Amino acid sequence: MRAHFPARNAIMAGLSAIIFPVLASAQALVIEAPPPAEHPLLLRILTIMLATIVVMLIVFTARHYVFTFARLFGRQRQPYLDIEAGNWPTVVVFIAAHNEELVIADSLTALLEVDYPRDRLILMPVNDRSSDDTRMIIDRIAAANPGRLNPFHRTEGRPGKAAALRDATALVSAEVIVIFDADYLPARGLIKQLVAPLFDPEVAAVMGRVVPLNVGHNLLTRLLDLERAGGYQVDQAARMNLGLVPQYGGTVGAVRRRALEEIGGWDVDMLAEDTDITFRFLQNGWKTVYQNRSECYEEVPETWRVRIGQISRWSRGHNQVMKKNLIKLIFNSKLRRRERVDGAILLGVFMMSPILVVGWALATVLFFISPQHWVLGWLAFFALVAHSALGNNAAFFEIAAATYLDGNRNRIRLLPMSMLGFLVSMVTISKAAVKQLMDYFRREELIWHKTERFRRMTIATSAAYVDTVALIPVAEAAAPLTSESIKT
Amino acid sequence: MNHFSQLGLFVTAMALMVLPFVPTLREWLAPTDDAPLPIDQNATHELRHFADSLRKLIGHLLGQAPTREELHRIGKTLFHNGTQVTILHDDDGLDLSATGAELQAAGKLAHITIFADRAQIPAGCETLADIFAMKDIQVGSSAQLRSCCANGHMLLAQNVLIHRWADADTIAAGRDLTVHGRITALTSIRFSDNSQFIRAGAPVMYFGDRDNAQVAAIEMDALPLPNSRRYLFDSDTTISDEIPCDGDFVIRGSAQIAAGSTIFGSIKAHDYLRLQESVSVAGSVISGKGIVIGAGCAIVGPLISEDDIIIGPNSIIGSAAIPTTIICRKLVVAQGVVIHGVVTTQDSAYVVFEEIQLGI
Repeated sequence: MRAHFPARNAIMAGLSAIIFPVLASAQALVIEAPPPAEHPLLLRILTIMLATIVVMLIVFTARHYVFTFARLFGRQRQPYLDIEAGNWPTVVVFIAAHNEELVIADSLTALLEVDYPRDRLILMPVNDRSSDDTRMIIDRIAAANPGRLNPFHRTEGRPGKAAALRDATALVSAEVIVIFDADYLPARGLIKQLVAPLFDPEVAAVMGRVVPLNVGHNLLTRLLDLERAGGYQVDQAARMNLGLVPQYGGTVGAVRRRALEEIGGWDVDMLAEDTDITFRFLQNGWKTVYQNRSECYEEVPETWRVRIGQISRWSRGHNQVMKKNLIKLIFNSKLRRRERVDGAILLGVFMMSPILVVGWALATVLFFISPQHWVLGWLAFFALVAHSALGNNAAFFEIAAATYLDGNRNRIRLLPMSMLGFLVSMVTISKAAVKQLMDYFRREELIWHKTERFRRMTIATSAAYVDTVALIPVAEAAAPLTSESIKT
Repeated sequence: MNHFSQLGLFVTAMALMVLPFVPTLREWLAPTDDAPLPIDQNATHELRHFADSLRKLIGHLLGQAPTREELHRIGKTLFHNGTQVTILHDDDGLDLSATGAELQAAGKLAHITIFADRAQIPAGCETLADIFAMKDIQVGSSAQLRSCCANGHMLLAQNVLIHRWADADTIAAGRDLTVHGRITALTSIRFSDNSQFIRAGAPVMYFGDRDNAQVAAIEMDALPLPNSRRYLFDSDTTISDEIPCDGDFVIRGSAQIAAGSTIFGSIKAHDYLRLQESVSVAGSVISGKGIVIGAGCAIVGPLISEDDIIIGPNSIIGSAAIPTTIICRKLVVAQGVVIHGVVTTQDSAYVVFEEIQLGI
């Protein structure tokens, strides 16, 4: 992937964020008698487009407030969290791995310690065409724990997580599929928590909360920690509370196999297979549940280059799902109105950045050609809402509420810095959208890029020791390893 | 406006812009709060967590199986992390009233009282000590305890109040028991009339004097049924044996299950759900609002409501082979009910033996 310079993106976005609204507002103050319009039709079209964008921004801003207030003051729904006993179904846990030698050992060892009934649990590392030592590490841990791991080494076939999951799903007949990325460190009780909501015959997918482990590494990881907190502790939890559309995130989650088969399985053409099945489940009468207390550590990107690549991939994948689902969702009369509205907004969330940029451009054009006073009011209003959409209020309020709910204190001081993250994301997402549009016209296929890992720290369980053991070259491992020897 | 005023205005404006970033820069350059959100990797939401913790602590203090002589050698009092621990013996010569006085004195401090043998708590005793009995424990009427644990049988007389939790191998509770926390047993619990608790768990919990409900629990294989069908209803629905009952039912409204029906699958209703008499469900029963279960029903479970649940007389929830979970805001249990597994309520569970006319 090509290297990016984040500061350039931020500066571009910052300048446009400040200059366009200021220009628009200044016009209202300075110009008293605008000249007559030379292109009235064009002016009207541009004005309607701008008004539409303003309405969309208001909707998205209001949505942040509704979610935050619902989370802070509304009824909290966790109906399945306390399920301790039941007729637990057979579960296969896929650990999606593509060149994950830095992190896979920790993840597997943590999974070996979960409290799910062993006779109903299949642990299947899905090693998708790795070219590093991922395969060796998996095989050694499998050998050290006979009968516990069922590795699937995928050496050919279409690249991408969806394709790997499709092939792995065909190999097992378990009723529930639980998926973790290779950098995740599940707690002992997590599998049961993720499976429990599937006792509800209406639930097809369950999503847990992702918690960054490498928070303290640098400013980026700390900003991502705040962003993740807002996204899960408030956004997802509020959707669950309000009976809207919680999103299955592709990892730290469970999927009902029967429902997956009913909707036609994993769509290998999708970059964001997780968002795709969320909406396909919804359209077919299934629900997705978010469990805020089912937390799992992950590793967040530690460099801006990796972060930009990650969010670019998310953006393209999400927009791909939007194109596939938006119209069908809006006109699906079997869904409740609130689900359709929330689903449509959720589908459009990655389109808001390019729309915002278009809005600024429109505002600038109108600044020069508009003769109408009332447009100036729109522009001023737009400037204000755009300011909010950038995060100084609505999104920041959400993050602040999440930090409060998590019981954290001083990290809230970094909140003004989140503007940097928002600006970088906005420019990255806009560029990704433009490139996606160009690729669409050129008929080019979307390509899946793996997120780079950094693993420098891990949790204080036995998982911490396996990394060392697993990385010993095979030739040096004279005696076969056992679980006990790993732990000691 | 002169130059000084302009400069002053500029400096003020810049200060207003920069000020919010001062704590930001400070936190960035000298982090004070950059640890990951703590997650207990070993947490499993076990209902018996407190009892297990106390047993572990006592095992740590006394050893796993201390002999009588060893316990005497340890003496009467020792300290552990600021908590006073008292060990009482049968042959200490304490009669019931003396034991009560000892406990009440102990309860004034953070205190664990260990009965090396059988424990007898006198009627009316009020203590804040955590009580642990190496063998059986018998609690007199109207006693008020903080927590109570026994390796053997626990007999609670009527009108006992337990503030936090109780745990034993088997528990038999008299009427008017109140547990503000959880009550758990390794083998069984028997509740009497007018008892209430927040959470409870045991392989089998009886409500009333009779050992068996009038209906047999549904026998199931270890693996769930291969439900190949799912029926969706968009409005209020009544389900009976007249339609195929071999799948899962999702009703986006209220639902009634006709008397005597057997459902080989699970049921979910968005609104109220009523199971009439003698209904059997080989799966979960879930409702967004209240659930009323008629007399003589058998449900494999789990049984989940985001509102209240009423379980009619002589019903069986779960089975000995497959214990299950009941979750609701408020639970009312009638006489003769048998529950295998765990009950978790937000408000409370009430054991009511007199018949309630629901009028529905």
